[in-house]
Amino acid sequence: MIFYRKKHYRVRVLTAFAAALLASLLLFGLRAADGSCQTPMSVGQVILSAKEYSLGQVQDRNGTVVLQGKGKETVWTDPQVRSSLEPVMGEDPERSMLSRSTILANCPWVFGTEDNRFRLSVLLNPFSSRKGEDVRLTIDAGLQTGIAQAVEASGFDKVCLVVSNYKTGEILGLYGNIMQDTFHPGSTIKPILAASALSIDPDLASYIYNCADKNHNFSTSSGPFRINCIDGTEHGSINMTDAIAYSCNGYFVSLLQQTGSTAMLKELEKWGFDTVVHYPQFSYTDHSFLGSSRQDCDYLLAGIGQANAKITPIGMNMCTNAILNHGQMENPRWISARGRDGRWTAVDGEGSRQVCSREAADQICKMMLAVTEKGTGRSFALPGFAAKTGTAQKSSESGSLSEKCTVWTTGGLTDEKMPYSVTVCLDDVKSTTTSADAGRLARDILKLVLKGEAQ
Amino acid sequence: MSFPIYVIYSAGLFLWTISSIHYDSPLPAAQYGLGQLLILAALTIMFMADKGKKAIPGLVIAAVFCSLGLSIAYRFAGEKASIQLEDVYTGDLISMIVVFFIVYLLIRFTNIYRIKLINLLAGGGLLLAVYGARLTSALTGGSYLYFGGIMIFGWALLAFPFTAAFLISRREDSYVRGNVRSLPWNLMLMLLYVIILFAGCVLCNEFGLILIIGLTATVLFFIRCRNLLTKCFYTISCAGAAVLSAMKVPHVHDRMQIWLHPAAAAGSEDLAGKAESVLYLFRHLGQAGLWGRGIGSLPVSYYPTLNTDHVMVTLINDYSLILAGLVLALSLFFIRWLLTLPDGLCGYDRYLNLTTALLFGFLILVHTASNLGSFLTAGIGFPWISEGSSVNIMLTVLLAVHCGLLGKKAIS
Repeated sequence: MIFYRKKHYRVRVLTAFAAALLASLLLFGLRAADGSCQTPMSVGQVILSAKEYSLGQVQDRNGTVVLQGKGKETVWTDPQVRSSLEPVMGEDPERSMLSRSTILANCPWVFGTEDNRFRLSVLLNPFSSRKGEDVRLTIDAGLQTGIAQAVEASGFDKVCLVVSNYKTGEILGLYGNIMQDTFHPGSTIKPILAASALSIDPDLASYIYNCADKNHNFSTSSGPFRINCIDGTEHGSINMTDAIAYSCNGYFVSLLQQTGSTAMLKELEKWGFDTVVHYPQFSYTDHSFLGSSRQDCDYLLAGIGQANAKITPIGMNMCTNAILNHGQMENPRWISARGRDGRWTAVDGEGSRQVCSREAADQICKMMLAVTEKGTGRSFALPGFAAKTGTAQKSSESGSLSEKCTVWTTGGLTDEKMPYSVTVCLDDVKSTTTSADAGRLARDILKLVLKGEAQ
Repeated sequence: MSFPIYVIYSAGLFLWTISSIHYDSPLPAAQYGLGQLLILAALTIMFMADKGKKAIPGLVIAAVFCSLGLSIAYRFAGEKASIQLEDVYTGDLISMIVVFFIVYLLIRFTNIYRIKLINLLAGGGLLLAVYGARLTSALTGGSYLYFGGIMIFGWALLAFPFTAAFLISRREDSYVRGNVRSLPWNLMLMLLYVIILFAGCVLCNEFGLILIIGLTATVLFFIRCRNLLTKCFYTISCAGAAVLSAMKVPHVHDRMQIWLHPAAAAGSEDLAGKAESVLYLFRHLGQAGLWGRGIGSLPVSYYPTLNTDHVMVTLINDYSLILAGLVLALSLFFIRWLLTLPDGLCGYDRYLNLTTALLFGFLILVHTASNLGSFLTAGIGFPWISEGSSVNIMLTVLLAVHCGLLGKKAIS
């Protein structure tokens, strides 16, 4: 007869084992259900998931499908959108997941990382296909196509371009590697310096500089340092509005000396210069002003966007947005929602910070209107288009200045019902190409945005 | 009925496994197939030999686990499968079957395992193995794990039941302070033996073994000891030692942190890597669902212990939650089967059997709980499903002991 009786210690031992096993399962279930252990997947785990899943749909802001997975393949619906978006889309996780500078690296659920196979439909059908969730971008596919066509028509080889909504931080269209490539900003840095100076001392709005030959020698700890205006122009007695409109180098170098470097560098940190800034939806190359240099001449040269002053096109666009948005810099966003089976949930990414005083930003915004009304931007004027142009000389490999330039135009519409900004950067261009060329491209893109808005 | 079900199950598992992973070399599949045939042959022999069929339910469950072990071994074989049988699970299986029949026959038809000297040698041998490992073996992952080419965990599984049964079943003719309700000397001796064993395990950094032996010894002590005060003192001492080790031993402290706050551990520089195995299931449970992600979906490069200490993770992730659940349900049936014994056997046999059942039970419980993040990560494999030659062979010895005891006649 088998030795097994109720209430015997063997029964109690078995009951205890069963209870302990059940308790461990229960604890696991509770932890899994409350999500306290649901930490993000590592890069390797996302790549592993991507191998099993077909890519979810990538939609533009209007719900148009841009990219989707078909089995293990990914399919672009528009070759023109593809040509401009592919470098930043990051559809191959093995190449893109290590950095957060691509779109899909910031929404790994498209690769299936958030899939829940406990859904009834999957429970009933174990062989149902594994497909990642969908993502809706802030980017407009129509505008993106228009940008690609406009860039192609412009004939420039190295173009970086970004269009955004300065009220929300949403990126509406982009071209080129706007997150990683840094360039000397040239004179486009001047509105930022002016806004910072006014935040330090609002009275500087009435500062006048005499732009004459003798006043272009600036004192530094290592002796006088000469910085001319472009083509040796002398602007005469000039105020801040005209200095921005006509891009007077001497004015801004002098302004830098008026504010003092410590206060100015501290203000510039708020804009993201010489510091590290993290955004929820992407990583980008931080911009620099003085960098690691402590030399006076580098500080003064940075005031006209040369030396160690470097910025990405998205960085410049964010700074422009802050000026247009009363000193409030919205977190840049290119992902708006996450979806499965047609249901969409907003993706966290909103946030903002005040980078200069509201008054300072509004003053600079008005001054930037003068750029297109009477200054360096007359050739691409558009009603309510506040902009700033910039030209930076590139240095050769030996360190000396080369023939090539980087030209910029950055600005936006002051009408807050149409809160759009655009930044255009043409790199490696000959000296015959001017910032007005970038400006015309910027204007055309803005027209495209307005046309799309009207439709 | 269980026998034909096993045949269908093992054939299905074999086909599922080899259709999921294809190797250029036919060797892994051949080894897997050979292993299946060996299990089937052993099971058939036992089916015919065991007239009362008392051993069959447990043996079928063991065969189910071994069959899964073969599948896991095939899954992790890689392209360069060894042609040396001693290096692969099928080779272990041959040893396991041979050892099983030898031990089974010895236990069932002889009484030599009850000889005092043999039991004393087993106890002494275990101490020698544990302390010898510290003196002779090289560090493996921060621990001294081997003695004489065999894991000390395996030595412990083999020797501890015999030693514990011998000590507990001694005649209780003297007690502390001469009070019959006090602690008997034989139990005192067992505690002393366990403490000496623990000290050796600490020297070897073999905390998994401490856990299993400690839990088993505790249950034996609580069953045998009749004095409430002594039980309370024992409980307080054990709890104090556990708290002290959790605070003072970095290794245990880390594991405690991971158990209590796995998500926080993932963010810690020191613990991030160690917490991964616990967090994996929480992150990927949704993707695995009820039906699993398919055999071979989780590469061993991410978690090197997926075929040993974290085999439950592999089962849930690759083979499906349903199969993992069935394995756990079968485990409970297995423990139940291990706890059953014919009437009329001597005290030594009963305690030998009980210790065997407790060891199996705690191995399964601790492995499962630590894989699910419900308990400290303990580095303990699942009987026969996890790879591990010496441990699986020793577990087979314990299986044979129980099967042998089931067939023994009552002492008149």
